[in-house]
Amino acid sequence: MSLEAELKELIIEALMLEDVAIDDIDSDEPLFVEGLGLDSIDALELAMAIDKRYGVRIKADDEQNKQIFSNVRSLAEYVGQHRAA
Amino acid sequence: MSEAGDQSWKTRAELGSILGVRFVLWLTTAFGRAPARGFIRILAFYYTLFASSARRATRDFLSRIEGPPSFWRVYQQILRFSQVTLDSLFLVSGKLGHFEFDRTGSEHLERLRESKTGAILLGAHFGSMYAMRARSSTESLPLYAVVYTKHAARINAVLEEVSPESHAKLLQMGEGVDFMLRIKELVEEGAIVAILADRVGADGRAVEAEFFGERARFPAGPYILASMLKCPVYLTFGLYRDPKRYELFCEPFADQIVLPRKRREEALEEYAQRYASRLEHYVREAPDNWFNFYEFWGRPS
Repeated sequence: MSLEAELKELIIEALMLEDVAIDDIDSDEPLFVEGLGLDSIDALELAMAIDKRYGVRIKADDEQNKQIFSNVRSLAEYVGQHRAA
Repeated sequence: MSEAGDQSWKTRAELGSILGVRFVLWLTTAFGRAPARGFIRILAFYYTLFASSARRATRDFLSRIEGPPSFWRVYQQILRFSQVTLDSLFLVSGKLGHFEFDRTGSEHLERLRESKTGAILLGAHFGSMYAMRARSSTESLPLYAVVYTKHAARINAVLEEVSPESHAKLLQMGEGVDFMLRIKELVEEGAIVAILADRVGADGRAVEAEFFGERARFPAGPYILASMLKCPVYLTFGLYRDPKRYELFCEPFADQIVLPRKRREEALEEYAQRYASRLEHYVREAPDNWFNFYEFWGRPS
């Protein structure tokens, strides 16, 4: 499974989006507000799930956070670059 | 009053409050607490006369507790809010000599500090959160408070001028990831983060609980956040007693918030109900400390 697909699965699992399937999430679709409509609590939940699964810790002071969390594609890029090989 | 009318009142009120706050700040610096307290009586009277929506909400609230209030009882409510806001100027700048503090349950906070355990404190727009913070800074407790700057931006700007250092311990409520990550990191480092858990925030996640005999909406966010951080939760309220006493309360709420997947909504409602019941208990002790000047039991429009 591609990292993008894995992350979609993680999003559905961690945020309990029972009626959403992996194929329903477009990699370029915004995660927050429009698109999937996630909020800041979801973002934290997702950040913690990513930390747990990939050992990638997203820090509060990272100026790129807005960009990293903009959609699944950018999230996958970030996780791919930072996870332990 | 029409919606548009209410809006324009809000703008004027904000302008009025910034002028008022600056003037009061100047008064307190130049002359001290007593003349400033005299001046805010005039401000409070003005607001009671012209802030019709705040007046209406206060009437509704007091009617539930004490029966229909007189104009002067409504005025007293608005005056208490003004007095507590004025005192926050002294409290954030560490001028504690004006006040007397009574403390119940502060051993919980001391234990957290000694064991370097991070925790969440749930408060309300009731009495003074600044009194709790002021005491904590004299005892080097790593206490942070979440503030809703959208509503309080101007007052916060003034507080920042008064005490830039203590302002660093106010966390500005944000909508993005950073705000939540920041809270997580602080709690993991052993800090104590105070959240006001009585107003439904911008995220709109809410649960209903019985409050003074009727269902009202409370935010669900604080419990969800605490469940993720797996940290202990305490309730904290600082009751203001005219003219200069603050009664600070801290009591355990939960060792850990647990939201089982299958009954998440019910669990959230149970926590919110426990919060609402304890809040009601304290509000009965000091109804004049209730500082939610909007229709608290109102439905979202």
